Amino acid sequence: MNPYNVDPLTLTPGFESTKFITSAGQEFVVYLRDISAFGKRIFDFAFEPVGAELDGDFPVDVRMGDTIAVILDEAFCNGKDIIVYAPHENDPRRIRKFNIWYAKHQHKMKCGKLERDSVTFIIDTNTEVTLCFLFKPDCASIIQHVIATGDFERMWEEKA
Amino acid sequence: MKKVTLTNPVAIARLKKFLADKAFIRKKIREGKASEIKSEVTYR
Repeated sequence: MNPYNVDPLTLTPGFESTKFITSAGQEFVVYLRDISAFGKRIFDFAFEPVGAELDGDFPVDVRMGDTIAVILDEAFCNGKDIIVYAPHENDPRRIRKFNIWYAKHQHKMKCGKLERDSVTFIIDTNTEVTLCFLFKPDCASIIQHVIATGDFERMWEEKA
Repeated sequence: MKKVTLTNPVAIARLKKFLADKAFIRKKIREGKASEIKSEVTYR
């Protein structure tokens, strides 16, 4: 892997973030937001370009994928159990990119075996939300429970 | 792709808040104001 240099993590309670700059000069912020539940360390993950238009897309390169792999690998090595990725506005291109990224990088990560799954929650006739899960094998039953039953509310209920 | 219809209004409201918080974080980062992301959008 050939990742970009990553800044040290900035820690706010429940919110970890870091930054990197691509060879094209675009700065990205990567964050992990603590939504732990079910007795597991669960984190909401995303990365966003700094200074980009709100609805604008951004170019990606191979090193970005490597950089994200390094950041998530470290997160799992440091005890996180489940990473949740919810693409903005359920964008199918981002879901596809996530799946391709995982296929390319899963064998390069040092944290041990990971599994992947996803579910689309239908909220109403106009709103669907797809959540992609990357998780340690011992969390498979929790993910299967969430997907099979839609009992994701427990995850939110504990934050009330 | 597996699809699950959420019917519990509390769960729906909380999922919508989760997404609204993500949108807020996205906006702040893209505006270059990540430092303004405060504890109201973090859970712990």
